[in-house]
Amino acid sequence: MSIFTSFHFDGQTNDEEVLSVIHRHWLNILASFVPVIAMSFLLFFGSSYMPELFPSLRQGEGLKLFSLGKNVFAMIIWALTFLIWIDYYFDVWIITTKRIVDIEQKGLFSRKVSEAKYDKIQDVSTEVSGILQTFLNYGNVMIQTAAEKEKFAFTQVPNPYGIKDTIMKLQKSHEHHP
Amino acid sequence: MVSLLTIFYLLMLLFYIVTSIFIAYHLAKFALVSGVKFIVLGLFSFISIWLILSNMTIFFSIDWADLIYQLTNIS
Repeated sequence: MSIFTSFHFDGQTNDEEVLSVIHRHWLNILASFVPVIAMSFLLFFGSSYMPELFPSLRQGEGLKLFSLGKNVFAMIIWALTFLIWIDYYFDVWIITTKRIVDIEQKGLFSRKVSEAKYDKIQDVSTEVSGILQTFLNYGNVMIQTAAEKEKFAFTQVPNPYGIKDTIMKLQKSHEHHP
Repeated sequence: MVSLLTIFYLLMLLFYIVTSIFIAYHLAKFALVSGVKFIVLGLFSFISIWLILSNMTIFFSIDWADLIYQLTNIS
C-alpha cells in the first residue's frame, strides 16, 4: 500500500491509487520566499529600532500610527506567504496506478489540469544540469505522449531519475497488463 | 480629507479581504490531504481575521484630523 492513501484529487476514480505526489524542489520555494523572509526581518528590526531612532513613535498618535504600519506590513507578509505557498503546493504532478496528472497552478486565477495514460507515453527523459541541480539531485523530467497534451514536463523536481524509473516501470507493467 | 482617507482605507481593506477569501477558497477546494486542509485553513482564517480586526481597531482609534493638522503644520 502506498504512503499516499490519504491523498485525494478532483477526478480520482475509486479504483485508482495515488503512488506519488511530486512538488518542485524545496530550493524553488525557498527562492520565492526570500522577499518574505527579508520583509519579516525588516518588520522585526523595524519594530525594535524605529522607536529608538524616532522618539515620537513611542507615544500618542505616533505610537498608534507606528502600530498601524507594523500591522499593515504583517498583513502583507501573511497574504504573500500563502500566495507563494499556493503557487508551490498546488502546482503538482500526481502519479497514480492509471495515469499521470499534471496540475499547473499559477497564482490564484490560473489552474490547468492535464493527464496522460501510460499506454500513451512514448518517451521519458531527464535533464539535470548545473552544479546545484547535480549536488541536490533535482531537475526536469520530460514525457512525450500521444495524448492531447503531447509533452509533459516535471520541472525542477527532486530525484528526476527515480521519477523516470517509476514511470518506465508503470508504463511497462501497463504494456503487459493493460 | 479624513473622509477621503477613510474611503481609501476601506477600499484597501476590501481588496485584502477579497484576496484572503480567494486564498481560503483555494486552500479548501484544492487541498490534497483533508486533515492538513483543515489545519492550514483554520490557521490562515484565524490569523487573517485577527490581523484585519486589529488593523481596523488601530485605524479607527487614530485621531486622523489632529494628525493631519500636525503634519501640515510641520511642513
